[in-house]
Amino acid sequence: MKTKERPELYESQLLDSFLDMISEEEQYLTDVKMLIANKIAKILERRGIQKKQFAQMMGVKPSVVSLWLSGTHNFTLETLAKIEYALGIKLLDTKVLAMV
Amino acid sequence: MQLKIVKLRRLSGPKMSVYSLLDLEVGSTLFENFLSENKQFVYEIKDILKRINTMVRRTGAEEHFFKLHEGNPGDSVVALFDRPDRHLRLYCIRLRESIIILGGGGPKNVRALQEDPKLNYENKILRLVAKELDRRIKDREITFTEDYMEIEGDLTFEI
Repeated sequence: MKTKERPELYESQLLDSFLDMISEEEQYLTDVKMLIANKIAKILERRGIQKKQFAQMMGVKPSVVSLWLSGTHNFTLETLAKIEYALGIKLLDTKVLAMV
Repeated sequence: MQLKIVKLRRLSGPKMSVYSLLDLEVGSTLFENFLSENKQFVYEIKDILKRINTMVRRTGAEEHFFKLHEGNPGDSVVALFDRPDRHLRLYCIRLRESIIILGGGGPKNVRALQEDPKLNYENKILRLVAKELDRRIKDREITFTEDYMEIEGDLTFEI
C-alpha cells in the first residue's frame, strides 16, 4: 500500500504577480459582493426557498437569481432594498452612527 | 499525461484549500497555464483571483459561486461562475466547501461551449481526473484530513 502523501506546496511567480496587482480596496469590494450574495443564499437555503421560487417572488428569471448569488453582481440599492423587503431581512445598515 | 495534485500556497487559507494539477512533463500547473494563456485579460484574471481569495478567507467554496454539473453526471467538475459579459471560463473540481482543484479553461467563443475545442479539452482533462479521484476516494486511496481541509494519499494521475 502506498504511503499517505500530502500535496506539495506549490509556488508560482506568475500567480504571485497577478495576486500582487490586487489592492486591498479591490479585494474589499469583491468580499462585500460575495458576502452579500452568500447571506442571501444562506437565508434562502435555511427557509427552503428554491431559486425558481425566489425568482417568482422577485419577478425575475431564475438566471437573474443565479447571477445575484454568484457574488459577481453589482447590486443597485433598489434591488437590495427589494430583496430585503421580500425576505424581511436586513442587507444594508442604515443606522445613523455617532460621527466622530 | 501525468498530473499530480499540488497545493497553491498563496491561494489557501482558513476556509478553503486550493489545489491545482501539476503536469509532470511540462512542469507547470493547469491553472498556471490558464493564467499564462489568458494574461491579456488582466481584469478578468484579477476578478477570478479576488473571488477565490474571498472564498479562501471568508466563505469557502459555496455551490452558488459556481456553475455546477459541467462534467459527467454525478461528478464534481464545475466552472467558476462566469457572467455572460465576461470572456473567460475556468473549470475546477469542487470536492467540498473547503477543497477545490483549479484546472484550465479559456476564452468563451461565440460558438456553443460544447463545440469549443479548447474548452472541451480542458473540461475533458478534469472529467478524467474527477472520475479517478472519485474512485480513489471511494476506495480510500485518497482520504480527507480530520478538519476536511486537506487530502492525502495517492495524488498522481495518469490520463
